[in-house]
Amino acid sequence: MCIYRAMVTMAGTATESESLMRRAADGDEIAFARIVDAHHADMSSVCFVVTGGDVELTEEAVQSAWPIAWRKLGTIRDPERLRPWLISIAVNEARQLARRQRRGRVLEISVARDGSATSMDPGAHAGDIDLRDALAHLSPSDRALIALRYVAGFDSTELARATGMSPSGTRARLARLLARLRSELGDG
Amino acid sequence: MDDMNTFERRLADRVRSFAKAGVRPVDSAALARAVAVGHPRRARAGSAVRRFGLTLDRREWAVVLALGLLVILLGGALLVGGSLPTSTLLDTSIPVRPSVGQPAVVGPSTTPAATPSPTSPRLLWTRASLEEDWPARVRLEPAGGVAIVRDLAIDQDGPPVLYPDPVGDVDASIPWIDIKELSISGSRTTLFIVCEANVTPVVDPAEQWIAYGVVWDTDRDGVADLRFGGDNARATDARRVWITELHSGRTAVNPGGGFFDETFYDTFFEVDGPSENWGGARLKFGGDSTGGGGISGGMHSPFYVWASVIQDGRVVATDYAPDTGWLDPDPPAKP
Repeated sequence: MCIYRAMVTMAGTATESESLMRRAADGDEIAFARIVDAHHADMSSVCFVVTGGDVELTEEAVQSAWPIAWRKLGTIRDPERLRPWLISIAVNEARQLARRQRRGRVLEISVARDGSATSMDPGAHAGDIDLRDALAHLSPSDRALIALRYVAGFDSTELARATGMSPSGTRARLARLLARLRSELGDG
Repeated sequence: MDDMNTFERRLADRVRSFAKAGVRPVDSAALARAVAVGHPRRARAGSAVRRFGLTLDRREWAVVLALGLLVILLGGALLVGGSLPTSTLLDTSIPVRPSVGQPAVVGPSTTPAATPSPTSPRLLWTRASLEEDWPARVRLEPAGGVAIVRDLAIDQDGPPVLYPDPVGDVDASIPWIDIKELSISGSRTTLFIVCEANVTPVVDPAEQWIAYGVVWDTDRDGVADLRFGGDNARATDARRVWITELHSGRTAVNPGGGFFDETFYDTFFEVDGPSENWGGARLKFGGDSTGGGGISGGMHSPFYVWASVIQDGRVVATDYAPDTGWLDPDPPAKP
């Protein structure tokens, strides 16, 4: 595994994402590892918002997204589309998982098993808790819109592509969400 | 408007700051390795296409695909209209409710039709179906035969273990239940049922009722004991999963997509699928390890996987993996 890891590190400084994508699409695990390395954190941060701050669901969503990306990487040709495409897959997974929040008891068990889920210091993250509460009142789809816009930095065209809505529809929905969050969070 | 712009900027900062808490370190190489091993790809047709200089841009591909889809739809309509696979229709001899002592042939309840017929039960999906058991039957086992059990040799810390299943053994017009591979995580908590094709778009169960699941032999006697399943009722935003104790017919159903029932089966069970992202479904098993259930806390008993589809009110096909015998994720230690 060490040799494998070293190969990943040495896999060239090739900045041409297109070559990386093509190699990964052809089954090159090292190229794929570099794509994982480049995008995993982005995908995690976006999914964390979509799941309303659930670490376990976030990890599950992102780890579920990678096999899908691995299988379908060959369908992406434009390197600039790679990041939004990967994030969209992860968000879709996170949204599906978050929809099933009725399984409250299971989450309790997960927290008990995984101390990391409770490691956040409430005193140091009061603002986070307010935001977490406000996000919890939104649907997973609305949280996805917030995450894609403010964490992933999607513009309205990319938002539209990721959500299946029209660009104007996403703008209108975002405006409504902003107004709602403003009333819940105050003026920030 | 300025106030709103100011608020939006502050919100963006707060959301970005909040989002950072979700980033955990990841071993990219190990993850890529696990994904590649766990989800092998076929040789890409695209390479051959490029080799012959037949590269097309996205719009041209869309036209080609649209034409291809049209041909498939027309051909499929002719085929389906001409010859439905009558040999795989629901066996109407299966009792409506399973009875004790007939574990190998027990059948679930059916959704009562408006005008039920004793010889041809219609299994039309309605909202009331959410309260009913899935109507696919368990696999028939050879009478008096010795159960074949394959050790999956799962390594707790290793990559997912794959079990390939032959494709083409169900009607080609419903490839989303043609199981081609099972992938079982090292932790034995996640099972991917990978089928020949995606369900795109995810269909309404009233049009095509699809379900995936697992049958367990919890006491390792070669006879099915529990059946887990989940279906595509999510098209109505009410996805459900269920567990049936095959010896008694007792069933726990949850329309929420996953549940934990400590007093019944002591197992958390969740199904994700069918999916527009991959063909098949993902089943997750967890639970309280203090319980006495045979599969509590993951997959520990011999099992086989099933996928079924109902069209026009009838079970038209079921694929099993494996078709005979059992897969053992956690064989007992040899003395």
